[in-house]
Amino acid sequence: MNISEERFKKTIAVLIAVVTTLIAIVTYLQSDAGARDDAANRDTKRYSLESFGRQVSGDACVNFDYNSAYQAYYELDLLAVSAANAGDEAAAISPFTFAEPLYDEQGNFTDYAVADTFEYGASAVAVLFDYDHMQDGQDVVFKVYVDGEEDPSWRLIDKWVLGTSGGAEKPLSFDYSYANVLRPGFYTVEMYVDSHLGQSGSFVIGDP
Amino acid sequence: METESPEKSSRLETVVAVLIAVATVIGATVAWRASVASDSAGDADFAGLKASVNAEEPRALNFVNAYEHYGAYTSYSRYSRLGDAISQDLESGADTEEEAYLLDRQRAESYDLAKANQDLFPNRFLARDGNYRVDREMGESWADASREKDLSPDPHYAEADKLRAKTNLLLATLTVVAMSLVFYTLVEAAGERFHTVMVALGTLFLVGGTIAAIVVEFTG
Repeated sequence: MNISEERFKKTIAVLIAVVTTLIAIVTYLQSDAGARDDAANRDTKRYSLESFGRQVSGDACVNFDYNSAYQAYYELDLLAVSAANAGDEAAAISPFTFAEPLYDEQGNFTDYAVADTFEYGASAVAVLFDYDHMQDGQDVVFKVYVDGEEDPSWRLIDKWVLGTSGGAEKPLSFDYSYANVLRPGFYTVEMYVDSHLGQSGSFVIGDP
Repeated sequence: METESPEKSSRLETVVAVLIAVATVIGATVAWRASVASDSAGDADFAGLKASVNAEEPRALNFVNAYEHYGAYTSYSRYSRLGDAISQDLESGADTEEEAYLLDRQRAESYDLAKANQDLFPNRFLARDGNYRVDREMGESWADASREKDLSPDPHYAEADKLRAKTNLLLATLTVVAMSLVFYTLVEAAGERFHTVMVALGTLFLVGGTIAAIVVEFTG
């Protein structure tokens, strides 16, 4: 074997090595690209399916919101306007908000902690509401139900003296003793104006 | 200049040939495992898509049914309260007999419509405060559907991604193993002084690639 033939063989061996290396790298890159392609294809189908499901769900919500809820509101609003135009306005009491009064170290009231559920130990819960179209002298009755049964000790019968419109609060508390706390249960408060139910709302006192 | 004896050269050729054969077998094994992982990734993708279809069907149906019921409840509530309001009007006294008759008729109509809607929604989803718990209805329907079908695509997709990453890692180790073949091929071309270096480098890549492949196979 002469020198040039041997050099040729060595060159071929090096080229084979280089090509093998390149093929290995390209194979890896091709596989990586294939994996990304598969994942992208899958995600396309997945998001297509999910978006279709979301569209159907959204349509159901929108149908309800517009065709049921909004239409009912619109019709009732029209009836209310019609009644008001005919001079048949009833007292309007806003939905009740329930809150626990907070006091500083000197015992001065600072703020309300609004909630629907209060921990056991609350000694007072205030019923907050706005009112409109009320008239002084109207009969107002508050009834409090605990777990579905009226607690007569909470009943308040009074004449309205707060004017036509504004905000008011009705405290449910044991003012005479700090030892007493509201018992656990599901409380429902009803407010009647001239024997008509003006508003009702509920809150919960948790178990000890 | 010192030259290798023909016997030593022949032994080296034999060792290199055996190492090339070993590297080829290991490479083929790693490629097979990578192929299996890739196939499993495809299966996991398919299972995930099937679970997605399974999930979207009841989700859409539940929304449609639940909001249909909620709509019926809204109508029931509306007519029922309208009837109550008209009753209160009646109790407070109508101005004329004709007005009383009309109010009574409207009240009866409202209650009839409320009753007609009452049968169109399941009352077990009414909350204590009188509201309709549409979320509870959808939750129950979803729980029923999940008892019958696989509704969780995410674990399948995660598995598919994991297997795809494993495939890539195995192919990376295959590249390392292939590099050993390069060095074994270069043994002859490198000249006598570098024979041992080339064999050592080739073996280093072969052993490193094999260990990496085993680690990926059993932990990936």
